[in-house]
Amino acid sequence: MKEAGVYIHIPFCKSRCQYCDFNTSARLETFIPNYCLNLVKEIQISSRIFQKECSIGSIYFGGGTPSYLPANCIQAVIQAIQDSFNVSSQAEISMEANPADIIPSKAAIWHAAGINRLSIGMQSAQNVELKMLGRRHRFKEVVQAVNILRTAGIENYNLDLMFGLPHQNMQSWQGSVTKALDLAPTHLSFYALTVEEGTPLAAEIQTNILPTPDEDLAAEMYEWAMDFLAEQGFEQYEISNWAKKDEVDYRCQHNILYWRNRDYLGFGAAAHSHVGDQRWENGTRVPEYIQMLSRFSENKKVNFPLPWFETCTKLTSAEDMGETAMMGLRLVEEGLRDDLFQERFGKSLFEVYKEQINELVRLGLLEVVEGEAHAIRLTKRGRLLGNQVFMRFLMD
Amino acid sequence: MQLTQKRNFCIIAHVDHGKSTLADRLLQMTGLISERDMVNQVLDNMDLEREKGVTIKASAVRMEYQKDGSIYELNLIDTPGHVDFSYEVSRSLIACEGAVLVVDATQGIEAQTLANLYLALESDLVIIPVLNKIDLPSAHADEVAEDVGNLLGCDPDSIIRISAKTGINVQQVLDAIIERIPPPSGNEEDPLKALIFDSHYDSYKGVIAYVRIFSGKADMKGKFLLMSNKVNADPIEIGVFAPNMKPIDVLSAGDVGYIATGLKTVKECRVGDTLTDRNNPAEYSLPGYKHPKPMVFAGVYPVEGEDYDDLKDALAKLQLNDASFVYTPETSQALNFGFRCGFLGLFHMEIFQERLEREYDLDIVLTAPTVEYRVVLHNGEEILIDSPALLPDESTIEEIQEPWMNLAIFTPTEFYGAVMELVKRRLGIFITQEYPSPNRVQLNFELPLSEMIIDFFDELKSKTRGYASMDYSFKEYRASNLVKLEVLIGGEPVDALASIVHKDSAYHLGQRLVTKLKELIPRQLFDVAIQASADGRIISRANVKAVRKDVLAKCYGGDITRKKKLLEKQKKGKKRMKMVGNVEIPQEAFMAILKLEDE
Ligand SMILES: Nc1nc2c(ncn2[C@@H]2O[C@H](COP(=O)(O)OP(=O)(O)OP(=O)(O)O)[C@@H](O)[C@H]2O)c(=O)[nH]1
Ligand code: SF4
Ligand SMILES: [Mg+2]
Repeated sequence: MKEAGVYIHIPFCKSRCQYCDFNTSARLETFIPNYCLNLVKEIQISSRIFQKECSIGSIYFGGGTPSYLPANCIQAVIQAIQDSFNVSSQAEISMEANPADIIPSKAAIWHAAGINRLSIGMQSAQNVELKMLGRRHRFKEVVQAVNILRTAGIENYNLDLMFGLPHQNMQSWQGSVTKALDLAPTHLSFYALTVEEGTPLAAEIQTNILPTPDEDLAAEMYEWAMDFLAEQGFEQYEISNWAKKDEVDYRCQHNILYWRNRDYLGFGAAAHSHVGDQRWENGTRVPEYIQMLSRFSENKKVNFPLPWFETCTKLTSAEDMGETAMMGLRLVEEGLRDDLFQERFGKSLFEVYKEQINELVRLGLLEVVEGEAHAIRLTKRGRLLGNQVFMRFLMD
Repeated sequence: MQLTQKRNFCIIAHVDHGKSTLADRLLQMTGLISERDMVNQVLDNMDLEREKGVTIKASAVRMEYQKDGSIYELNLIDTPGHVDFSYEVSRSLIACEGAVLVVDATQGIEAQTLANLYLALESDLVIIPVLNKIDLPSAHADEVAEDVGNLLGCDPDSIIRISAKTGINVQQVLDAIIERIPPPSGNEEDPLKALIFDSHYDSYKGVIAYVRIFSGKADMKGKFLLMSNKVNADPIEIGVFAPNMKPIDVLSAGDVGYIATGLKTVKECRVGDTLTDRNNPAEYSLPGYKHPKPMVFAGVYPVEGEDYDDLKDALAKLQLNDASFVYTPETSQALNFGFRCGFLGLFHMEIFQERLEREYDLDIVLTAPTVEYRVVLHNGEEILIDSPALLPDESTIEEIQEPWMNLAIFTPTEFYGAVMELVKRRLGIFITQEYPSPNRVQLNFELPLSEMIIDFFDELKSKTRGYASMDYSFKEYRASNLVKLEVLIGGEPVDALASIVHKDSAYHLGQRLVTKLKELIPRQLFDVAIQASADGRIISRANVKAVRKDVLAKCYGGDITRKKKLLEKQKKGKKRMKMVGNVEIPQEAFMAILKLEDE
């Protein structure tokens, strides 16, 4: 039986952040109860197609803001997954959370429901930055949130931080990182801000209300963080992700599935799935998603591709290879492993990508790991120039 | 049909004064095009013409019109107004006995109004002046009528005032064409003499010659001969434009139409040649045209070397429709294999570039345009060079000569100072001035062509709020103090970025060029040094710092597709750039010298 992950998309937020262009909405709250009911239904119907094929090793609630939902909704969804699928007892069950949502009553239900990892959107320890980003929490709430989680018995949590912000300088960045470490996380994710077109933040930058973030400074912040976290006992295993070094593996198992380009089932509006050589995406809009699913009863047998898919593509082997490389190279420690590659595609990546590898090694962006785990991976410099590398592994 | 029932005329004007719109109304009023099939500027049928709203190529159409109980056959030729295409106008004129001169009543007389009028007068055409756009509130028809009356020596009140857009008074234009323009002369019984005044290429029917029959007649039994090169051309089809190609049995003296020759190259069937019948040949050919000489030269290279053959085919095809364009193979150290192409002007070049990119879907790099220099060597030898890369070693050069132009600028008097200042800065010499009407002045200058091809017209337009217009023609070659301005990237000279400039401005230009290149060349994986040098001295340098961060952030909920699309877009952008050594240079950089802002 194959192992797969389950992703649950929760496209609701209490308010929209200034930089956000994700599929989420701050105006559809009235749909929440109905959305959850239909999520459960989608899980039940889909399970009859996939249940036999896979056992579930990880569940991930992403968004939007899953923590904003009533905790019993989350509980009901987890229950549905456990009832419909074969979920491993060791499964990692993660949820993204806004610090302001983390209150004792919710935390207790989450814990009881089986959530054993939280990813907290801290973003910064500087309140001016949080305000500029349009986040609805303040740093104080992050501190409180961590205490509440510990009390509730959830000790495995990640903190998300952003760098390369307008007005941010090295000092404020270092301050945020240090304060994050003081909260004893098991995992850290650092993301450079991308100014997405059409967001309020982009408008403020265009009209010079905010300065354009300095890319070189962002590079320095990242380089500093790499060195600093290494000193602090964290292992960087992905471009943006660090796990605390311990006997326990604190890496996010669910995200590792993405990076290894393995199988996952996504449920909810706009959720993405990848099973074998198929990729599909559910329709993106909440009302339509609900409407579509309302037409089916949970016992109904429906054939693949399911009616609520918006797109469903069969990948060619060449596409699959490109995607495997593009994702795998993000794992900066293990890299793209040739044994796994050969197992999947029947040829060595050193044959398929001979030219690209030679060029990138020459450019100092890629290195070959010799020995048992024969692999290629980004050099330290390559980590900041990943696109230059990934691009070359995609087909023309 | 009797000759007395035929009228051949063209519509001439300054750019945008409404020639094609007037043609629309005439086609409609004569019933050639129904209300339903009418689109604006219907004769501008090239995609590019429609999009830019500009006529590039002249078109001929046959219409029928009834007046006072008799039927007339009217052949209309709509001409382009842009100065780069004035040769199209002069060719069309030879096929006509009269010209409708359209003057925009909101603008008045402009440079190509005069230039095209003079061409028409040289060909002895009857001129019917028409004021257009009188529907617009900004029209000052009385004033413009006065000016046009003075220019032509006619009564201002006799000038027809129309709106080509709404159709007001267009009927009067039709009547005037019949009343004032003489019918063609020529004898059907004489040997065939057909003047080829234009052509286009059709992949099935070969070169389609647009002809005006001066004597004799042409039908499908004809055994044709091109008189200049003795090439045989038996007709595949004979017809008229209505407005699409419509086969007919015979074209006879006085007619305008087409003959599909089946010939595969324009060299065999040149515009300006006379076509006759080899069984009953004409004794003399008709006087042809002076072929326009390309004035502006640029290198055209495929971004991807493997597209070379496609580019070559595309150029050959384009030349089949436009004999004024010339090209020869060229190699560049930086850009490898490509072509040196000659154009009539910058607009002509721009049109070409767009056609290559759009009609032939080619990614190309165009180098900055240059003029043709005449280099006199110490040993007395004279060579012509149309590319800075060909400039011989300085120590062998006695002098370099460059083409100078006669330049006439038309402007409202309030911009007199601004125009004088601009031309002076571009090394122009003031010659004379005339006042064609009380508040307009025509300033005549002499100016090096090299100065005119660097953004001159745009600057003129912006300095005169769009009111000035200009006309120019070649004058002579003159010796100048010129040097080669070289650009080095990563320490290596890049031949495709070199230019020949006036020594006095080399320093200043070099600095601005380096600044501009620094802006245009994206950050690469390593530092890129940009330098400009002239006379063996580095005059300016800048550094494009290595890129440090280029990586996509988070992958939300396993949405790999979105990530992949972003990367693919980035990869495509990279592919569109030209690799010179190991530096990626965007296409715009090769044109940078044209885009230098004043600091
Ligand atoms: N209001 C108004 N606009 C007109 C009239 N005649 C032409 N135009 C507009 O003027 C513009 C130029 O018209 P064209 O007919 O393309 O001019 P043209 O002389 O053929 O231009 P070129 O071929 O580029 O030299 C178009 O936007 C027309 O719609 C008119 O009588 N009244
Ligand atoms: S919480 Fe996340 S998903 Fe919601 S608006 Fe903010 S950035 Fe967007
Ligand atoms: Mg026109």
